[in-house]
Amino acid sequence: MSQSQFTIYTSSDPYGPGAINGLTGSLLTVLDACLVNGYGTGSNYKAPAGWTKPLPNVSGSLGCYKQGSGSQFTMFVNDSGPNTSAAAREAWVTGWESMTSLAPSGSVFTASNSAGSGYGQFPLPPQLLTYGHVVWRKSVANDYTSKSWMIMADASTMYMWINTADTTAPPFYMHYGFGDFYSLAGTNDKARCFIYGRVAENAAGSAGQYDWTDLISFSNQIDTGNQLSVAQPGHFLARNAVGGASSVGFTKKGDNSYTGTTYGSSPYACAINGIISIPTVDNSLILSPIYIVEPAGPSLRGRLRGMYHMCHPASSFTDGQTIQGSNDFAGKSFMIVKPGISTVSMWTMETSPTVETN
Amino acid sequence: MATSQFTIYTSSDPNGPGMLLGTAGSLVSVLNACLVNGYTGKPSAGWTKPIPDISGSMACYKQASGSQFTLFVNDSGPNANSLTREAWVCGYETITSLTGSTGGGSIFTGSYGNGTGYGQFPLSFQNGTYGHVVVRKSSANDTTNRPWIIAADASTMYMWVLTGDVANSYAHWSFGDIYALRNTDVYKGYIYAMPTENSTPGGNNDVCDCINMGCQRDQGSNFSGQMAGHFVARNMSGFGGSNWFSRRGDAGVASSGHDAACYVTNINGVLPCPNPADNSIWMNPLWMMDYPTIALRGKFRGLYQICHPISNFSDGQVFSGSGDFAGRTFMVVKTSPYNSMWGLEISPTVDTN
Repeated sequence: MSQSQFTIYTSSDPYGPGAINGLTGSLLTVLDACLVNGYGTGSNYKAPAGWTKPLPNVSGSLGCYKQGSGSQFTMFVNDSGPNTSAAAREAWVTGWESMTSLAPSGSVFTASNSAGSGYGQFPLPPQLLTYGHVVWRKSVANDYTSKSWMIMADASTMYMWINTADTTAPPFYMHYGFGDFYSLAGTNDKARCFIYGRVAENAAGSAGQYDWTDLISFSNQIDTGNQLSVAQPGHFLARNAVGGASSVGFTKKGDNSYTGTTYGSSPYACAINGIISIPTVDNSLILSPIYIVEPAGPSLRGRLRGMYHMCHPASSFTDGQTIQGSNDFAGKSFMIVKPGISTVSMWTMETSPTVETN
Repeated sequence: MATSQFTIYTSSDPNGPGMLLGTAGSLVSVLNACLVNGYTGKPSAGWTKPIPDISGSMACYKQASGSQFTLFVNDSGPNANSLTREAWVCGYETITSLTGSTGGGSIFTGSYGNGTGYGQFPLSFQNGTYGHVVVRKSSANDTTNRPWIIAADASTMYMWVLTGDVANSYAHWSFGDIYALRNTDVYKGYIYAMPTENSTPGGNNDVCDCINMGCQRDQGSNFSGQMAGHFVARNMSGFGGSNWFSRRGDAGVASSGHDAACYVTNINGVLPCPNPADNSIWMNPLWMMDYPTIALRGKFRGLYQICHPISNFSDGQVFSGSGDFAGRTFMVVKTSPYNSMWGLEISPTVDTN
C-alpha cells in the first residue's frame, strides 16, 4: 500500500506566514506558503505540500490550489470578503475538477462573489449558499487580530484548524478540509476528493447548527432510524462512487456507539470522542477510522486519510499530545488536536509516514 | 494466538438427539448429546457432568477448558405458568448439588431448584427470583418438533431454537467464555438468555439478538445500562460476584433501534451487499462491555455482526473471509425476533484464551 506523511505547518513556525487574521487575503497568504511555496531555511525549513497554482492569484484575495497527486482537483478560495455581512472574516471555498478562471461564471455572480469557473464544481450552486461554496471562517472579527492556525497536508490532502476566537472559554478550533480520502475502490475511484466547511455566512453558531466538521454521524437513532443515509451539511464529494454524477453530499462515520454526546437534529450527529475511560482492560487506546459514507445506500466509500476517532474522553488528552501506536496501529504515530467547536471533540492525526494513500 | 473450532450440531443430524420439544427433559437430552456424549458423526464438545442428571430433567455441564465453570439446567418445567416449554439455566463457578440452594430456604426446594454451589450467576436478586435466566424451547407444552442449532467447543456453546412463537425466528441463548482482552481474566464465563418467564422472545422479553445502541440522543451512552438477562461470573476486576454486561457491535450501521429498558438495536446492517466501493462484506466482532464501567472486556468467540441487510443472506449460507478475515469461514444464522442475524465462525480459527 502506498503511504505518505503530512507536513505540519503552524502559525508559530519560524519564517512561516504567521498568524491568520480577519482581513482579506490572509487565508491565501497561509495557503500559498504551506501548499505551494514552503518557507524557512535549514532546520526551520518547511517544504511545500506540493500543490500548484493553475491560475495566478487575483488581487491577493482570489486563489486556487491544485493537488500535486491523487485526483488532482483544484480548490478555489475567495478571500476577498465575499459575503457582505461577514466581510473579510470569512472566505468561500469551492472544489473544481478543473478550473478555467478565478472570475465568476453566470449572471448571478459578480467579481466579489465569485466561486470561480471551470468543470466539475463541488458543491454546486443549488447545493449550498447560492453560489456553491462552503465557508471557512478565519476570525471572529474583521480586523488584524492574530489568530493561530495549523495545517496538516501532503500532496493530495489538506486539513486546517483555526482558533477563530469566537469563544475563548474554552477556545476551540474551527476545522476545514479539502483533498483526497483513501478510497475503498482504490485508484479506480477517479473522483475521491472531498471538501468540508461551514454552512452559514457570518455566524459563529455551535456544533450541529452551522458546523458539522467536528462531528460524526449519529448513525442509528431509535426514533429516526439510521442516519447514515443523511449527508452532513457542508460536506461534499466531487462525484459519487460510480463517477457518474456530479457533486454529492457525504457523511462521516466513526464509532458512534462509543460517543457520549449528541448534537443537531438534521441530521443527528455526535462528537468525535468517546466514553471509554483510561486505562482500559488491556491498557490500550481504542481508535476508529473515520469513514466517508455516501448517503445513497448508504455505503462506505473510503476513509479520511490519517484522521482517526479516539474513543476516549477528550479530557484525557491535551492538544498536541503525541501517541505511539501498537497492535493494529503498530508503526504509526499520532497527535491530538483539540477541541473542536463542540468543545468536546478531538482529532487524532497520523503524523508518521504511514498515511494510507491511493 | 490459540484458536479453536466449533462443532455444529443440529436437530437434523443423522444419529443425533433429534428435535427439541416442549416437554420436560428435552433440552437436557440435546445438551447431553452435544456437549458431553457426542453421537455418530459428531464428537462431543468435551464438556463433563460433575453431577449426574436427576430424573432426566435437572443437569449440569462443566466447561472442559477456559474458566471451567458449570452450566446448570432445570428442564423440569420449573415455572408454574410456562411449564415445560421453558427451562431455567444459570452458571456456577463450582456446583455441588442439583437440588436446593444454600441459604435459600423453602423457595428453593423441589422443582424450583436452581442448584447449589459457589459463584452463582445470575444471583437470586438479579434475575428470576431464584437466580436464573430462561431458555424458551417451544411455544407450547407439547411434542411439536422444534429445530435447533448448537455451535460449541470445549469452552463456549451457542444455541438457537426455532420455538414456533414466530415463524422461522430463532430464540438464542449462550453459556461459556468470551475471548478476554486481558489474558489473566479468569472470570470470563458468562450466560445470556431471556430474563422473563412464559413470554414470547423479542420485545422487552429478550435482547439476546441485540446490541447496545451506545450513544442515544437525549440519553447519552447506554453502556452504563443493564442488558437484561446477560450475566458474567464476576466483573473484570474479579471482585464480588455475578454482574451484568452489555453486548456491543457496530450500532452505527444497524437498521433500527428499540427501547428495551436500555436502548438496543438489531444485529444487522444497512450497507448495500456487497459494499459497492470495495465489493466486500463488512463484519464486526461482538464485544462484551463491562458493567457499569463501560470498558471493553472481550469478544464473543466466533460470533460477528454482518453489517448488511438480512435479506441479502439465507439461513445456513457459508462464505469465506478475506482482508482482515482471511482464512476464516462463516455461516449465517437468521432470523430472530428483532430481525437480526449472526455471522458464526466455523473454521478452526476461533480466538481462544
